[in-house]
Order: sequence, then structure tokens, then C-alpha cells
Amino acid sequence: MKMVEASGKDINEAIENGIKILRVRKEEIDYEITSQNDEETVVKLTIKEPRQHLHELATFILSSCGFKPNIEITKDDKGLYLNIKTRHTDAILIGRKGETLWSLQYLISRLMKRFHPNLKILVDVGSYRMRRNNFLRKKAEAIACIVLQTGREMALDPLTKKEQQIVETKLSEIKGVKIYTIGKGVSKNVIIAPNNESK
Amino acid sequence: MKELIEHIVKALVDSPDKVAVNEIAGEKSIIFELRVGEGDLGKVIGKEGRTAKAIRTIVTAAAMKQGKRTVLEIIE
Repeated sequence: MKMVEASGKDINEAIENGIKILRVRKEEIDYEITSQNDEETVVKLTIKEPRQHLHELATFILSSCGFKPNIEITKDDKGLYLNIKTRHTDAILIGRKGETLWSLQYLISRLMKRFHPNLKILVDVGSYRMRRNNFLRKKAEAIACIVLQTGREMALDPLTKKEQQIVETKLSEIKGVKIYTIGKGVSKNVIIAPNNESK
Repeated sequence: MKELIEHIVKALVDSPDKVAVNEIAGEKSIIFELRVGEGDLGKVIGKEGRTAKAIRTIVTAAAMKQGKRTVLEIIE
């Protein structure tokens, strides 16, 4: 339901009624007057195109939390990439191990999915994801080198599932090492071990 | 912040008219009481509590900026 028609005594009331049906904010829609007379105004409301909609939604969420966000949206082949920048408060928006960032990602994509079901959105704060991914790849490579030289197993810090995936794809490029995990939940560790069978 | 919780929840539930958020502000902490209509509780909590967790985390982050603690209670 991306479009709705609503009526009211004047234009403001008609829009008011329309956004109640769609359950969005006034900033998220465009409107068009279909008919107007002294007693009744009918308007057609449409949800803004994804990029603008995402911009409005992210601005609303962050500014009502008291942040002053600087939002940048770029389009790539997978979908929309949303990068949020703030002054001195990036750390709060990322949270411990990216917890808050994950929440922002979840809620923003959940709210956007109502109107743009096939759109993929990646939320980032101050390019945190990119920096973290590069760091993980470098670290995995460095540790794999040490493992290959010494022939001993080495553990990585506890990682989230996504982070673990990144390490796995990186290590699958390097021959002679295998990985397995020990522990559960928060204390789940990734172990990089030499792969003796391939020798 | 109250407005934010209300907006997010109203977008998710079936009966948005029954959504009510009550803010109880203390010296160091803020308590939000979120009331939803019958049958909508699951929608607000989400799969394995994901939605509830996400809302709580964001509210906590926002409060952290002001140096406060928050509690979000969901009541049917």
C-alpha cells in the first residue's frame, strides 16, 4: 500500500487523515489534490521514493533521539547504503560491539520494508562497518601467517556471526589453514589451526 | 523519545489506536510504559525478542547521551 486517497474539510485535515491510514509522518509522503470544493477536499498521498524516504526516516529517528546526524545515502548494485555521521557521538550510535548499529539497521530496514519490500538497506555509522571489516581481514591474514609458520593453533577474539563470516571467507583464500570454533554465545571463539591433511 | 517509540510501534502493529506510551521521568532514569492492543504484543516483541531489543537499545543509546538510564516496559 504505497498510495492512499483521503478526504477532509480542508487540505490539512485530508492529509492528516491520510497519514493516519498509512501510519507515517507528514515528511514521508508527497500529496496531490484530486478534487476540492467548499465542503470537502480529496488528496492522493504517495510514499516518497526510497532514497528520500530513507533520508526522512533516518533523520527523524536520530534527531528525536537528540543526535544531529549528517546523512549520506549512496546507491550500489545491492541496494542503498546509508552512512550516518555525527559530531563526537558516533561511538554511542555504534554501541558495544556494534549493538546499537545493529538495532538501527534492524528498525530502519523493518520500517522501510512496509513500503519497499524488495529494497536492501545497509546502515553504517561513520564508516564503522568498512573499517571493522578491513581490520578483521588484515588480522585474519596476519594470524594465519603466524599459524603457518609455527604450526600452532591460535584464537581470535570473540566475534559476532557476521564478523565470523568475513574471517571465514578471507581464510578460505589462504591455503593450509582451517578454522573451527569453541564455546557458545558471547564467549564463542574462532580458532585458526594449521591444516595438516593438505600437506 | 516518546514520539519515536510511538511512531515505530504504530508502524508495526495492527491496531495503532490502542498504542499508548507513558513516560515517567526520574532524576537519573526514565521509564517508558508502552501499551499495545490485544494480540499485538508479539509484533512489538518480534522474533526471539529482536524488535523489543532493538527499540530498547536505541532508547538506551539516546538516553546515554543525556547521561540517563532507561527502562522500556511493554504491557498488553
